[in-house]
Amino acid sequence: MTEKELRQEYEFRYQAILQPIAERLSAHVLDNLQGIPRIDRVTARAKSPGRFLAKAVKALEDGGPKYSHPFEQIQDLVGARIIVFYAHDVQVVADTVERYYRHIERKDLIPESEAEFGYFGKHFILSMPVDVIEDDAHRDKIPNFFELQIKTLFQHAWSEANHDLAYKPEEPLTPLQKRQVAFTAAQAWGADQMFAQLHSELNGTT
Amino acid sequence: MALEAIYSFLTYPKKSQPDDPLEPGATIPIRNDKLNRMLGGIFDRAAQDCTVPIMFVPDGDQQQNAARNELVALVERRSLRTATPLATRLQRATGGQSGMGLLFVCLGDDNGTRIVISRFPADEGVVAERSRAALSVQFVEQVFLKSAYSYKAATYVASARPDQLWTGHVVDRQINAGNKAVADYWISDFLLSEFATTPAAGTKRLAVALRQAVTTSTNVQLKHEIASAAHLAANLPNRALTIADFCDHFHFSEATKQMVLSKVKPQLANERFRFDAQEFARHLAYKQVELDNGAVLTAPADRFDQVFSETRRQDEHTFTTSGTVIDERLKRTR
Repeated sequence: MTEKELRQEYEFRYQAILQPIAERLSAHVLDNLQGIPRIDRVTARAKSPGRFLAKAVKALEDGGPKYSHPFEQIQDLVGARIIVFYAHDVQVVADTVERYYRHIERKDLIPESEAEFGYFGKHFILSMPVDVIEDDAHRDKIPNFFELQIKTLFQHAWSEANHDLAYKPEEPLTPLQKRQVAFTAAQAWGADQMFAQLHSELNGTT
Repeated sequence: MALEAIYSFLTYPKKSQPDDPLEPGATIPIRNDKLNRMLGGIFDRAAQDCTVPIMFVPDGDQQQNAARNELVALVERRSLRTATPLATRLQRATGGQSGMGLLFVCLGDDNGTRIVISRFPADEGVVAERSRAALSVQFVEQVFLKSAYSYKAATYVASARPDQLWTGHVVDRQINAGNKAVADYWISDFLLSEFATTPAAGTKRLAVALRQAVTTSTNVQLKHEIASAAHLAANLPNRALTIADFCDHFHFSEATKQMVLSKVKPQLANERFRFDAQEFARHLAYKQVELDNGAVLTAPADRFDQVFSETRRQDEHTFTTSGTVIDERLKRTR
């Protein structure tokens, strides 16, 4: 498939299949979380055509394409995110997610070194529930999986700003800018720690 | 659909001796004979016979599963050698109760590569041959039958990239065997898989369908049947069932069953899951309050406070409600 054909096909799927599924998926996830306190919001989105194409045409070091079948191999064509108030709420939500959805991957994303600050979050690759699939419509074009992220408010705020900035620069970040990004990540991490501690103290769970 | 390759293995119950080697298998030539026609029939009907969706369970947190890896290797390079690890895996998963079996691994084209794995359990039998002069009867020790009680098969279709293969379908006549080792043997121990629908997801679908049937129907008999089932379901063991099975288990009338099934997508009516009594109660519970004057008040738990308004004066509770009487009966017991 040429780049142009890839874009055309994805734009069709984006409009006709992925966006409606994302909408239904958001409601489905929210419904399964009913009764769990301190959930700020649940959102789901279809990967935008621009982001899909940028990912789909990525090359390996040897110059060969990273994805020979991008529609099957890219597993976050539909992504959902659950945002919770406090760090300890993440696991409560994760346990519930695992009760309702089958996963093929589960990751706790943390910086490689204890001395670093950066992206934190819990990610799953989950089987797409049949409930959100319109009967037999384009069945072979519906992704088998979707990505689900569970984040605290501060993890979410940091990753959104970082994501936005990461797409801006034409040149790599300077050492100072890298430290500034790490500083904001450390502050977000520290805020999560403090709120978790305060919540435990004020609710007598310490 | 065309059957293109067949591999066969004798597997022994070696769960307790996993290091014992597998006997060499055989490649069955593709030709027009009785064995090919029988296996061709199984291959062609696999999509209809294997109705239970399953999914590989990842080993750890990454996208890995040993049985899946073996299946993908077989699809990518068909040979007796690449089929052997699956047979070895089956032998190591087989306990004494399941006994010896004859395994067939069949591959062919079906809008991608279809794989059908079927196990025929060994049995004893008698062969009777009639000649003009007499009847000859002989005992046969190793007969492999497509047993109606213990036949097991699995089918997968690898389209596009085989490494994206995560789901398949099975038939397992012993899914609800009382013995856990037998019940878990094919799906969990051999295929390292689970039902595609989690217990909570399947049970919630069932409970919501029942609740919607009660809410939308004016049929008193239907409401009574579902309320009775809801009370009894708390004691239903952790068995594998479908929404249709649940309706049959509690002897719902045909009208009630059809109303319940109409509340789920057609393909979900026969989706199998393990019943989760706690999850069921979360979505379809009836709250019952008994007073010391003999009154018993019952309403759906999630609407009890709307159905009855309650005032309280010290230990005395007053419940009030109003509505049209749609059923009235005398019952021997609550």
